Amino acid sequence: MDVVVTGLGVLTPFGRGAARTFEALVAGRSAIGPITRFDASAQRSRIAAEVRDIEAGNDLTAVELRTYDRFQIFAILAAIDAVRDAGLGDGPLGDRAAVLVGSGIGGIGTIERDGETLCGKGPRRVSPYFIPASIPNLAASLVAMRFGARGVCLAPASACASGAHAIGEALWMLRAGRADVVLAGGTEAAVTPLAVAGFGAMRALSERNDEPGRASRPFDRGRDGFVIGEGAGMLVLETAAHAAARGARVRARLAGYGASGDAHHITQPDPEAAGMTRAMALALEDARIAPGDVGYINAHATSTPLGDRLEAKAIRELFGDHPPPVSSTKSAIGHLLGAAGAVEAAIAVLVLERGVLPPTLNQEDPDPQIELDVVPNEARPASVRHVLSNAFGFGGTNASLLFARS
Amino acid sequence: MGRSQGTAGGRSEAIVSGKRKGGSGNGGGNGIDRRVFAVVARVMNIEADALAPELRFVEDLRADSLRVMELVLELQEEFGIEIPDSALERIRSVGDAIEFVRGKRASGGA
Repeated sequence: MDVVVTGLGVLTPFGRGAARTFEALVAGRSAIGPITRFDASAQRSRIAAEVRDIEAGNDLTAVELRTYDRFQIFAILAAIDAVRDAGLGDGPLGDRAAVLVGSGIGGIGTIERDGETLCGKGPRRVSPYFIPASIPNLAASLVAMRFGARGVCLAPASACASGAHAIGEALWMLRAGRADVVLAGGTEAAVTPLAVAGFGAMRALSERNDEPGRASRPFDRGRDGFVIGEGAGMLVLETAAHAAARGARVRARLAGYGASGDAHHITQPDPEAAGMTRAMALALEDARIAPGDVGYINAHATSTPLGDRLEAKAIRELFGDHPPPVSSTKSAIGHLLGAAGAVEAAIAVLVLERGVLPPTLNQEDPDPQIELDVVPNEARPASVRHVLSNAFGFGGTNASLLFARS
Repeated sequence: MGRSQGTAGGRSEAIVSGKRKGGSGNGGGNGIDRRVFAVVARVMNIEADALAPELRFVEDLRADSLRVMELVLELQEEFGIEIPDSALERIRSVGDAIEFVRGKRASGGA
């Protein structure tokens, strides 16, 4: 059973709207700058790709904006855009509509704020909204409430692969006949003091604080860690039959999904990259296509020394001496953690539609250990039929999505 | 549907706009009244001059239980008082809240 993409919703540091993000990526712009959301002067990493204006318009009330955590607000806005794009209307989507919205961390900003209240003012001053605003599945639930989607509603949590797993699991759910429509995606709002300090403590973040625009440089020899970003991505996925029955415009086919686990280390990828390789291989097998059919890979590549090298190794392992062009859009929008896989899935769909590959920025000194065409610095026209989108997460969890031109 | 399903605030606006004309302004100039009105207005996202003492939080302003707890928290903050759970049964309207705060203050609260 074919599963198709009929709607895209994207909120990134470039703003609200899938086309807006894609066009900024193709233009080679960077959304990375100094952290403004809090005083970051004592942090190791003082740069981020922040959503500066959520552009909620009339889509959320003042009470909603005040009550919900930012990761939930991002998810609602991306879902609104995806549902509008799909032409599904405002009416209840009903029992056959599921919602899968992943998040790596959930409402960490809320956890920090209420934690301060607990320590400063005592337990009786903690907000009654602390729990609902911080638990990760409330993004999915708020999306479900907004659209009256009464099917399965849950939040896959697989760190930085959460958004990709949500979309992949939605594919299986639709094929299994458990839903006709799924709103699937990921959301994250972890540009917060504690999250930045925590990733900083792991030495996972770039400390190129004086050159924000040059800090995220996946595959480049000078890479020194990822730059944290925030936002949300949402796809409307439907069975092809359901989309056809309502005369929906089909933007792409979600043709394959591969998922695997490393069972190796809490944060480091398996040094043989076997799990990454297997996730990609399974996605291709699922879509019944050969490696040579893939025209472009949107890499997970976060700009960490080890992760990028291992992903390159996995790609060479599967694709041999002639891998397709590979780029990492994290070079421009940073690493959106649990939202990354979903935003990048939307980018994959736009690559199929528009026939242009977004570049990997900041390629100045190629890493000799990375033998890939990384579409350096400038976008490139390329008519492709199949795009692979990778997402890997802490804990050794891997997801690979294969989108095909409709 | 998305909007109308909305939140306590969204519903409150609809309810109150139908009801507000009978309201008694912002509470008649008394400091406590004004401050309670301001807290309720902020929590419920309603214009303060749309409020009236007789408006009940749940039935009229469509607050859910969490919104009521948030209101209690904000009143405690605003007036530096404790509102015990045992008092919640008596604080069901804007006027109840004003009366409770006034009583607390009279009995030596902040």
